[in-house]
Amino acid sequence: MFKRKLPIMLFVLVVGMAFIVTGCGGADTSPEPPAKATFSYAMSGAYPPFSYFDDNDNLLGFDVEIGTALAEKMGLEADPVPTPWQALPLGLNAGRYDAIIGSMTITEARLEKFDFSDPYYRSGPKLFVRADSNIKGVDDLTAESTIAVLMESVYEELAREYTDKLKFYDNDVLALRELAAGRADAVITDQIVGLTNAKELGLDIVSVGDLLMVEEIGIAIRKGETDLLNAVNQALADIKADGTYLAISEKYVGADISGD
Amino acid sequence: MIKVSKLNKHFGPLHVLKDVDMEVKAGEVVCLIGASGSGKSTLLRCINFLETAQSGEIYIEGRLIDRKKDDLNKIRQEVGMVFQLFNLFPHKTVLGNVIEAPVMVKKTPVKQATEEAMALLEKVGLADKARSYPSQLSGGQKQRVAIARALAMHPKIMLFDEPTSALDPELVGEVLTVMKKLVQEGMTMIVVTHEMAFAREVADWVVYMDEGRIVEVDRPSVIFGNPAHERTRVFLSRVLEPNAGVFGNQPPGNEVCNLCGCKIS
Amino acid sequence: MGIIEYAVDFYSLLVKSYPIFIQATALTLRLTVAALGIGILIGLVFAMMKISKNRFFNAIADGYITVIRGTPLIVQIFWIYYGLAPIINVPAFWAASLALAVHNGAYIAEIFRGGIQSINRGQMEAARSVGMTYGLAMRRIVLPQAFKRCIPPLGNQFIIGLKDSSLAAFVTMPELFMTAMRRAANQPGNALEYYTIAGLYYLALVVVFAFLVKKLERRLDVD
Ligand SMILES: Nc1ncnc2c1ncn2[C@@H]1O[C@H](COP(=O)(O)OP(=O)(O)O)[C@@H](O)[C@H]1O
Ligand SMILES: [Mg+2]
Repeated sequence: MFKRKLPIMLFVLVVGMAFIVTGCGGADTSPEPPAKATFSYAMSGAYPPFSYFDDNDNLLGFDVEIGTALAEKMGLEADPVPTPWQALPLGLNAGRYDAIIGSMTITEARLEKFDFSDPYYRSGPKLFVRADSNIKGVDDLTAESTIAVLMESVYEELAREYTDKLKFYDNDVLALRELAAGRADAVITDQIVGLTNAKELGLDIVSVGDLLMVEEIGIAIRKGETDLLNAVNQALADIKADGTYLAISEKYVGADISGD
Repeated sequence: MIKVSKLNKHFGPLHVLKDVDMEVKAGEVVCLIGASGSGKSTLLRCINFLETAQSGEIYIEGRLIDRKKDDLNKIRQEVGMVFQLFNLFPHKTVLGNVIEAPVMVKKTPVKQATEEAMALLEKVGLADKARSYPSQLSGGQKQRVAIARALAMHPKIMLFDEPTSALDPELVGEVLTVMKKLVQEGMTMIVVTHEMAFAREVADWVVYMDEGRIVEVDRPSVIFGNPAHERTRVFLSRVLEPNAGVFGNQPPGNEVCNLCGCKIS
Repeated sequence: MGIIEYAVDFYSLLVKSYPIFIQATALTLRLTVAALGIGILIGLVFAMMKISKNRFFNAIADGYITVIRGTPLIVQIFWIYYGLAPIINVPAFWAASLALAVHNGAYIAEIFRGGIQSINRGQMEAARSVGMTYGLAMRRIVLPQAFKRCIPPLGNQFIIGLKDSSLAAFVTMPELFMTAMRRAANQPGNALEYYTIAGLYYLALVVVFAFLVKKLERRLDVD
């Protein structure tokens, strides 16, 4: 008896499918056509306190709010686009967004591909070890020391100066956990990130020594888009001047991280 | 009605039909006999253009058919075919099988097609099975539906390829009865069969094929009474030998069915 | 921490995260349905090309199936989302769906090809012998029967497609896996728990879906 029902079932399936796909779709999947011109900018969304999602899936963080403040100054609608870290450059090249405000350190290699704004904050990598470790600074590292680092990050190059035994992780949390679990001897990561995460996770790890270098973190923009670059630099100066910057910085990191 | 001239068919290196000539006039019934593998099915399939012959000509109602230019679908509508294994559409009811082509191909209105189909099913004695599915029918019933399905397109000629070979012996009669009815109505038919009694009774001509060649064509009385060729005589004596039985007169352990050549396993 | 406390903690995490994970589940489902829906059409087209006697179509179908089966899904997703962006800016949802569809389509093409070829040649011949064209015979006689046989492997492909949709996370889709990643990044202490929760949602979807397929199969096997 099913035979006459099969086409009907198929029909219902197809219609249902169309309904599911179009009917209730859209809102959270693709950006709505903006009323105002937008300033779209990307960050990983997995890098607290710079970008992260709270329990209600709201996107928050220092990078996110800096972007919002810059957009406001430029008279544009802010459109943050959370994008996995590895794909950030791809998306910028592809025109998926106007800028990366994603805690991206300005490096020679990156300057070849993108333009960068003036630094919007400064930080630096530090060496993290277990509290009971006898490594008290980079001088105690040997060729036998295993260092865990974020894959594709500037810390990778830095770590190679001390050892070839690197372990790569997708995010700092994993790297720090590996350290705490004894599967790595040290982690090189941003001091802010390392400290906040260690506290959050309750890991028995400490940072040792000085900043390994001063990193300048900038906003990446496609090469040749000078108007946007200038507008962003101007807006950045403006939010620093009117106190917006300081408020955001203290809200998320508890200190002024501009490094000015 | 149908004329085949110098038809040659190869399957790769295998030369299956060799210069086959045959003519069937309107209203005639031709029975095609011969051992398994002699090319009977292939000949039927070439006439229906399910296979392409490499050389030779096929005329339908005096017109030479050009495979490239003529609409073969149109031609197939006029040439009905009944297969050994029925090939009913299992996902359609008996009625659905019969009206499928009239409705989908000829665009006959469903109501009219249904009325005609019911008349055909009546004729083959299966009007009460119209709503059944093929899987609910016996072999004989399936074959009668297949005949009704072919007739629904009002073909000018019907090709039967061993229509009763796959049936249990007790079901053969009902299919032959339906076929005889068609003969009486004057349908032009080519029937590949091992039912020699049937051939003797209804055929206008009997064609004996061997190894891709037509060996002998004659009236049934001649073929079954006093065939001109030794090979025909040998074939018939094997098939008709009353004491031989289906697997008779053969070394044990390696018997081949005298009718169709199938091996017993 | 004792196992009881752990279970209680996990349970409260599960309950607390329920609203956003349900939302993510809806997106995962939409992605999967769109991907498989388009994938079935793509699969059908390429299956027909593959069984056609036309050498050109065969070559195209073979090429497509070889490339798609031979490259990782994540690469295909990147091609469509990032690679195509300068030409046409496909929204993330459709880029992900399309990539998943193109991917699944290659496997579905093979499923359909197998299904079609498993239908006795006599069916096509019988249909042709009553004057049906190749296309009509395919559509009315062969495909309906083939489709029925394809349901179990299609169901299987649907389950694979459902789980593969997690890769849409890499083109910004906040589906189940992405949601777990976000929670994990935000609360690193519970990272594994959040991934497990996402896993449970997938598991629930798969169990429900497998049940539906079973039912459909049983239904189609009536005769
Ligand atoms: N599609 C095919 N491909 C290759 N060989 C075939 C094919 N169909 C038939 N043959 C061969 O052609 C010969 C004649 O077959 P057929 O016409 O079926 O004989 P019959 O119907 O008289 O038993 C046999 O040897 C058979 O194996
Ligand atoms: Mg035969």
